[in-house]
Amino acid sequence: MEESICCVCHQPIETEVKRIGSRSFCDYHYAQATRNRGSVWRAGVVQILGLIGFVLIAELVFLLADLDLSGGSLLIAGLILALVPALLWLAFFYQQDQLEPEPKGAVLGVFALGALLAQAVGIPLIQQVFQVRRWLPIGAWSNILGSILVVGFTQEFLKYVAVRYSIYPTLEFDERVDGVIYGTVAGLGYATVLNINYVVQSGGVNLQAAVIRVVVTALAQASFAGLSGYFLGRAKFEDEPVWWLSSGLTLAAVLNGLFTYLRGELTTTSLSLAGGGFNPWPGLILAAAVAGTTFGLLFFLIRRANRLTLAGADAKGGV
Amino acid sequence: MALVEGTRRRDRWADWAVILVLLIALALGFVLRQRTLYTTSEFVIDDGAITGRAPVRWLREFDANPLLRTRNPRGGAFNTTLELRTRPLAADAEPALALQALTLERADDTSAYRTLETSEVSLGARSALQRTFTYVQTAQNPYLDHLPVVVKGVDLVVEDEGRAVIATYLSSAETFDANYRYFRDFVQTLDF
Repeated sequence: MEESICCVCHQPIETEVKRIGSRSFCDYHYAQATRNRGSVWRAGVVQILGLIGFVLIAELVFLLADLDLSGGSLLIAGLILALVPALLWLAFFYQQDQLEPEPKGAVLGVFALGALLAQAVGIPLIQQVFQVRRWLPIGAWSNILGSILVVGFTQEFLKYVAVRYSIYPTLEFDERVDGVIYGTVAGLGYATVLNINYVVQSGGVNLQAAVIRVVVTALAQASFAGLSGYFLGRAKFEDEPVWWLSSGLTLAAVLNGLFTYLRGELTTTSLSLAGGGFNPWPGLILAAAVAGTTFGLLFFLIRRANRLTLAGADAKGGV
Repeated sequence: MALVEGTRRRDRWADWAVILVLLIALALGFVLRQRTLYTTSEFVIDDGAITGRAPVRWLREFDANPLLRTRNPRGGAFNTTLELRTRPLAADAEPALALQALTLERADDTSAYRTLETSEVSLGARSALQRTFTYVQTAQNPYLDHLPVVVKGVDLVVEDEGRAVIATYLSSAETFDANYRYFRDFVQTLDF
């Protein structure tokens, strides 16, 4: 009889071989791969609501306290703001995921890798090599296409790399939903660096506008990386075609680019003597809608895939 | 085992497909960038029988002096500018005289005007004289809130049947090198 190897732990399977497509699983990893982890989705919902709540509370504090920060104190306040979304997500995730939490080292490693790739490759490539600020605003079509082809693909590829070449081949990546989890973490790492750069380059920021911008960036980067992570999760445990991963990357990049363009259009207002020029609130509504829709869709798709796999196994008598 | 090997091979191809898609996207992005920044269109100056090409998205003004001024409207504190003018030249006069006249004009009109370097260059089959210079641009508009800008420029003069044709490039010193390509393309397409 031919010896079967589990595609996750790469150990010979001594008991009954379970399959998804042509991939063989041991009992333990089959159960893991098809597990629905409600905690992940609860953490996602709490994260979106928590970030919106954070914005509202922060805006209220700024309104009532009349903070007069400048120089170094403003810079430090901005840097703390930049870290809040990632810290909130980690807190919610581990609070929800106490029964069988993902290893903290792996989560922090992917977060750090996403952040490093953003700082070392993403920002220099987009800002210095492609110099997008010079030409994206010139016309609507150049803005949309450039946002997709340069900004979207670069950012999504780097977040994909942070997962694909670190945690993906290891034993820790043993559930379909792990792609979404680690993709989200890589996205938050990327967003944190974008936010820190924004604060530092501005030499301190208008805190009322910054708190919204920081949250919008985090929600968007996490959502699109979660989407490409979903494709990674399916690719590891199922027989997907050769173009599956590149389709996931393309979809995430297109959504990222469209979001970048739409956010710019929605948050730019006409100038008047009373002020204007920039209104960040529509950007927050858009980001919350995108994040809610993306995570809702992924939740549905992963549960459906797990259900179909288990139904298929039952029909074949468990094999 | 053949099944497993086939799966592994497909996974490897899937990884390469991701990289291929990224490279195609970035290549298309680069083409889009070049087209957006450097697409030109033709201009014709009937008086001087001069034709050439200038960036399509820049503002153009046709006048007597200069004959053409085209500016990048998104240039920030100083809009990168290309100009074209002609000056009559006596039969035995040197093109350098045209440069001297421009130097005197600019010394009057600008602050801290300095010439930097003068050299002979070739423009296709013709020889030309090129002079770089610098001055400080202060805002004409009192409501514009920015520091004076150090401008760096180039005048390139070519003798043409009793006249000097002068192409000028002006850019802030910070962006001079990055935008020099506009001037090079502009000069190379001039026909008179």
